[in-house]
Amino acid sequence: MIVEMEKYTFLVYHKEYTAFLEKLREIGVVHVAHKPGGVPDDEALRTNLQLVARLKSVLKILEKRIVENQQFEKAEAADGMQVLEKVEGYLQEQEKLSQQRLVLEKEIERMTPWGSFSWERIHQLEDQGLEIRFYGCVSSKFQEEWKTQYHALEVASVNSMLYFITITAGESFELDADLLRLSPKNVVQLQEELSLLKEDYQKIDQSVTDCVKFIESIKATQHKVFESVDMRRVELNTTAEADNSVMILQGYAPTEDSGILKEKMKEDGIFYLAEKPLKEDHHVPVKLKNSKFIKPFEFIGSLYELPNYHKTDLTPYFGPFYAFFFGFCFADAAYGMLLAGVGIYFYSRVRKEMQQVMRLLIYLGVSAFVMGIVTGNFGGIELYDIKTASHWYKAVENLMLTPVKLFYASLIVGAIQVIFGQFVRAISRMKTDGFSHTISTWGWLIVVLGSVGILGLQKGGMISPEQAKIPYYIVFGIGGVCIFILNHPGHNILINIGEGLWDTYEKATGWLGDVLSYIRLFAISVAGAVLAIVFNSLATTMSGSTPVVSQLAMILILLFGHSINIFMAILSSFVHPLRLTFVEFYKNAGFVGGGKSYKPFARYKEEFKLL
Amino acid sequence: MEPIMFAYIGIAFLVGLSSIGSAYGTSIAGNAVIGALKKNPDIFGKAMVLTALPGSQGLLGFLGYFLMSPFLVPHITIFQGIAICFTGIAVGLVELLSSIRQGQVCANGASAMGNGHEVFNNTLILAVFPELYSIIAVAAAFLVSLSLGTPAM
Repeated sequence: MIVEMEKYTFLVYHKEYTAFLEKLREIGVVHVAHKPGGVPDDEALRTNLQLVARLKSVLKILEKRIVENQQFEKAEAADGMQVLEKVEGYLQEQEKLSQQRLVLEKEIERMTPWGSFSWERIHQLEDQGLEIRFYGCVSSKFQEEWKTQYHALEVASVNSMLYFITITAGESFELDADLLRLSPKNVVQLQEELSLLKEDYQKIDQSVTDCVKFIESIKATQHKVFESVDMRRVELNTTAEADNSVMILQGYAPTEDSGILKEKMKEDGIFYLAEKPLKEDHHVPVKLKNSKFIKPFEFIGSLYELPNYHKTDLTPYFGPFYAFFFGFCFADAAYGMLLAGVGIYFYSRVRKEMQQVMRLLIYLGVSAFVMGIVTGNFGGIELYDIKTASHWYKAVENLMLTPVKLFYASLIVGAIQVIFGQFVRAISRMKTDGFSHTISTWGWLIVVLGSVGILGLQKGGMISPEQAKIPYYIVFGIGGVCIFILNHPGHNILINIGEGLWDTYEKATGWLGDVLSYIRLFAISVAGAVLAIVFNSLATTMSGSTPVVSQLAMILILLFGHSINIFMAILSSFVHPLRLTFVEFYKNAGFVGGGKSYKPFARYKEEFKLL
Repeated sequence: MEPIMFAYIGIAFLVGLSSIGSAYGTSIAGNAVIGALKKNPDIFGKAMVLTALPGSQGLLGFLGYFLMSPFLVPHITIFQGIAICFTGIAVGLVELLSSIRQGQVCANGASAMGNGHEVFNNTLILAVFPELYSIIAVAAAFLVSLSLGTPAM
């Protein structure tokens, strides 16, 4: 259900405006409306947003370094900005050292073939009038006569490269080899330098880790910056009138909170107008409020988009179907118990926002358990193969669905959801746009449900085919009038007939495709069950007959196989019902999205996002 | 050629092509994820889910084999052998192509996520579209297995 909103227009004297905004933030129920045409570029806002990004990135780095049972200093123990700048400084230094390290490592690689030689000795030789050159070439290119002509001395051979020096008296010559310019330090000196650099890096790294204890100070600063960003945005969305002496702010608040808001405004003598949002107002924020049972499914709906404020929230309508479809796909009593068990175990151990997800997990697990019993699957054991004289077991066994029945069941539940979607569309449109806009949909429902009903009576032997003729005429007659003539009251009848024909074509092809799409429920269900059976059979046939070893092998195969199967089955069972909901059901139920989430101007609260 | 040979050719195509398809699909998505991780290392969890999606076609191919397995007996009729052969080839091809295409959708989603766009949910929904046809193909294989009558004894 979408919570009803009221639109507020506040008119405040400019000198009281800051105090008014502070008060509004304390009350924390008004979602500030954006100025039409957007807000101008603002330097202060931009700076603060950049600061937010800096704080976020440093917090992320520090959070990764938190160790178990770490004690933190209180927020007041340090200035968050100073800690931020300190950590950023350390990180910049680390970055610089990393660059230097890369250069050094390359130098070491380059100098390694030349070993630990002394430049001093080489300079002494040069002072004596000798010229020493350093060369590298592919071994095959080295010519033996260079040894006599230029006193070439081989220094090292690495892979196919040969490194050598020439010692000459300074005469000019050229060789078919690369003349190398060496580093002023030899490899040992470079390695010493690298280890010093690594030590420095470690020290700085430790300094970053030491800052973790001040994480609360950074969070407090982030808190303040977020609030000032929010405040600035509100200020920018304010319109100044009457020579800037009156400030006008518009916003929305849930009607259920209007009492407290109006009372506080009255206390401060703030003038405001409160009205119901108009149908043309497309900026009304959306807040969903559903029963305890349905609330966990809001998470599923949020994966797509929020409904338009003026339309209907479909969560209560798709929620139970989603749980059922998940169970249909996952259909294994043992896996279902496991899933529900995980949900129950973690329910009281996770943060509040996650509790809804755990609750959803419990629903899905229970649904999978029930469908597992219905399809006769228990961790790859086929329940209908169990031979027992138990009466209650026989009763349950009679309810179990074979793959053939499961195939048709998937199509039947598909048809049910598609028709239900049409019902939802008709009722919700009737509420928002009036009955006249839904006549065609009702016509289709009369035709489909009427035909199914009459067919049912015929199959049940209650009426003969001959007796069924008249009810069919009535159903098709009423339905036909609704679809082809009354579909758009007030329009030209010929246009209505044309639109009715087009609608018929759309419905015939669309519904067929939609219902066929539900076959996926059957295929995913059977695939998961078959794989579970196969892993069980692998475990019993491949584990051998050596005592202890075979039992261990069996456990390993079972654990590995079932883990993979559970992962893939959860993935498919989660995603495919999502598609059935967002594509097939939303289309038939006439879902209109584009709703913007209700975010009141309030004191900063850490946001939690699961996906 | 014995009828059983026809059936095994079909099974070879069915299991082989669908498994190859899943191997391709998951690695197409996986390669894109590795590239995206360089830009945004925080997306691994979501990206892994996208990478796993094209893995289901391999499982569906295996389901197809399971549906046909009761007929893989020496005294299979020529009608059953040829039906399994063509069904296997058709389903195998569908699984192969649908997995590769699904892998490409997931890869694009992962790349976009790497660039900072929050498109995980949208990719999840869109990636399921090409998979429908692989499911339809297996459902057709199921109907074919029903039409083959009882396995020859």
